Amino acid sequence: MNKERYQILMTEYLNGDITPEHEAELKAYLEQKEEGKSELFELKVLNDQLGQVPIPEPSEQMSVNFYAMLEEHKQAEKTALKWSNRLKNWWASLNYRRLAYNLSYGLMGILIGGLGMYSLQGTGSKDNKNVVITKKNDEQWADVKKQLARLEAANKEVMLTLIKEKSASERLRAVNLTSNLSDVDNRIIDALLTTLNTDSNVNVRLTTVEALSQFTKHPKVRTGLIKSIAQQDSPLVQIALVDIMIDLQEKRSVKALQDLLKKQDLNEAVKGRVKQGIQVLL
Amino acid sequence: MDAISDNGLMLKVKDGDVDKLGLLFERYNKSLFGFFYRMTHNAKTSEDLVQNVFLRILKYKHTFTGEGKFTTWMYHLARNVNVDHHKKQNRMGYKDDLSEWENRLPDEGGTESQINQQEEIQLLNAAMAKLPAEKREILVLSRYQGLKYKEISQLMNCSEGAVKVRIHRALTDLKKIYKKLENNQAL
Repeated sequence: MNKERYQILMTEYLNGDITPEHEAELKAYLEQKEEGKSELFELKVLNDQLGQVPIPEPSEQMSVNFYAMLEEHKQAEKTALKWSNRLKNWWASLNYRRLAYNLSYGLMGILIGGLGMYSLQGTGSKDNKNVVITKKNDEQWADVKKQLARLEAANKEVMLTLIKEKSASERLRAVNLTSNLSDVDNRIIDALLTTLNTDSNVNVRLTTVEALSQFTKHPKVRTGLIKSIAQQDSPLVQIALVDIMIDLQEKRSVKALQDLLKKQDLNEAVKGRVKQGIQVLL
Repeated sequence: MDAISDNGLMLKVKDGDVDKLGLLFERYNKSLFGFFYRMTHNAKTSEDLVQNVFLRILKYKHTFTGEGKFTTWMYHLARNVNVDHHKKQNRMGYKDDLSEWENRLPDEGGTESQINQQEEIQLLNAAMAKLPAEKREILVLSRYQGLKYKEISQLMNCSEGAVKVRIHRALTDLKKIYKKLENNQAL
């Protein structure tokens, strides 16, 4: 019997799943080999001992953390779905027009290019025609840009009005309006941060976190989000803020997160997430 | 029967019914915890690693085909989580969690035979800690997690015969380390 065959049969024997034929083969081999017998005995003792090594029970916290993670995953999927819907809406409304203008602009460019080539071979009077077309096109484009800017400005005003409404659904609408904005100014940032820190409705605050997360290129938004950590009492909003800090790799938030951990009534799932966040950020 | 319903649950998770993952967690959290605990000897770390496995199940749910056993796929992820954990520990210059375990003394009290048994277990844990990770892993999977040779061979991408040979070698090495520690203790 070669060495590997012997090792295979020994494992089967020790694991208690050896077939009668294999057992007979092993026994016949061991009959001729004294050291094999003692090895078998020693390994059997060790193998049995392995079965006696106790193992502690996992803590309740493991389940709590798991279900918090599952909940978070579901929320994230919902948000992703919401985003894809928003993207579709945005595409369908605003950009549809912009795309149409872009296309016509592009086509016009090709046409002008073509005419230009033609004019090189032609007379000077054709050059004048091209200049007229290009000018017309630029004017059209400037007009589109003006209209878009007007639309965005109007959106901002509506948002700033709605966000002061008594009804939570109106305030939610106001916050959601920011998803159509290409950028925000100080007035919008202030309004969003005030809502985040003072709104009585958790859904509004949670949506505001999401809205602000689009504009984190503004230092004021980043600082405002860090400061807000200390002011939130809803676990959902706290977790959303921690997640943003992790996404942004915002190391300045570590102090605020450490302070949050000191809160006595802090939710266990939040505690776990905050600890995880601090570890990642440090 | 379990394997079929495990796969059924996992396919539902794959289709977006992620709440079904809760049932799989209830079935396997303890055995996964056992796997990581045998590998790291640190309860807190093991709980975190179990969480990581379920996170990866969610992340890679689209790769589950339902053709093999769910547990084989789950242990495949668990092994990767374990490898990543040790890489991270090494990268960050942490001491292996096991070094603490080796120095732990058995509790005082109890009868002489209980103390002897505690000492034996302690010695065995210390020997396991000194065993190279890949050998410790194959013993944990076969001896504690109850995985079949076929499942281990799929996990380790080798033949069933090779699995048996590796188990024997790991056990023989464990015995050598155990004896050495026993002799040192007697001195």
